[in-house]
Amino acid sequence: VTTPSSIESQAESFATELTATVRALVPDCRPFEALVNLDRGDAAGRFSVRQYPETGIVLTVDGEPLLTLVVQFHCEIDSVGRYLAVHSSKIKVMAAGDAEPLLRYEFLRDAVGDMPSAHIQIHAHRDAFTYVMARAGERSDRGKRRSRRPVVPRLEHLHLPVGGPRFRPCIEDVLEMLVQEFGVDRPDGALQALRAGRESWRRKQIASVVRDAPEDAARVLRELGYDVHGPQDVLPADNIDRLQRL
Amino acid sequence: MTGVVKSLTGQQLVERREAIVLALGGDEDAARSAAETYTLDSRGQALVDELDDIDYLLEA
Repeated sequence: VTTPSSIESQAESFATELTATVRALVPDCRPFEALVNLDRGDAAGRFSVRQYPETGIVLTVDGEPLLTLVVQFHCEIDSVGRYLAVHSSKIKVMAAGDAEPLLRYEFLRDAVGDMPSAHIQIHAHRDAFTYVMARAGERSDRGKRRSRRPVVPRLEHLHLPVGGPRFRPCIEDVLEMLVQEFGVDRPDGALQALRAGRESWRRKQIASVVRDAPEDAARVLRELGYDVHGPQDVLPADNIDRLQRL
Repeated sequence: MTGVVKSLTGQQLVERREAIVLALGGDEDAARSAAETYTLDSRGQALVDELDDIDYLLEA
């Protein structure tokens, strides 16, 4: 019997967590599978993770297949050789039986040039979108309203989540997207100003996130070598609502 | 643990890669072009995704 390497153990944990997440929706979905290159060793360890069947996990409405979910993660040990980092992720949602996605949530840690590292791409020109929206299930309030509305569903009726209260895009993201995607006019230095604004906003969000989960923040600081002590009296509670909210 | 781990050597990954290209008809460039325009079926699309996985793992 051989002992699994650190990277194999991390790959297994990652695949297990993904499986548990998707099983919340599809209890009988097959386990996610991680693929590891044994030759890289732990220090330069990498793995990929994907769902099975490889053609995607079928999501049903009233027991009938409506959508297919395809998930692909590429992960590696970070540059200090300590933490697991996601190098890229792709989450694709297709109408069942279609190869072309309706939408894609993607992340590329090392996105080049003007590509947003985390983004959503919508294949909105397709009739398939109207089809799946018209067949929305009635187990949620939004789905019920959509399925009972006597009008053709429109893409604008969808609300795509983008990170919740703390990790949502900031206005600088939207403005830079308009510059990059539509060539909106900009004065010299505009992109630098937007990036500085984004940094400022994210630093404020970091402070907010620390207040949401102070013990996690303290643990990471200790791992980085800081000497961190909790308050003398009552430990502040985590803001579970904010951590869980869509 | 319910996640599955498949551990392969670099050589095994190269062999798997060759098998995937064959399954895609032997012309990787053509298969990738078809994948970009979603003219492959979902099985073919999944094979191209697997090529991406293997390339990532083999990357220097």
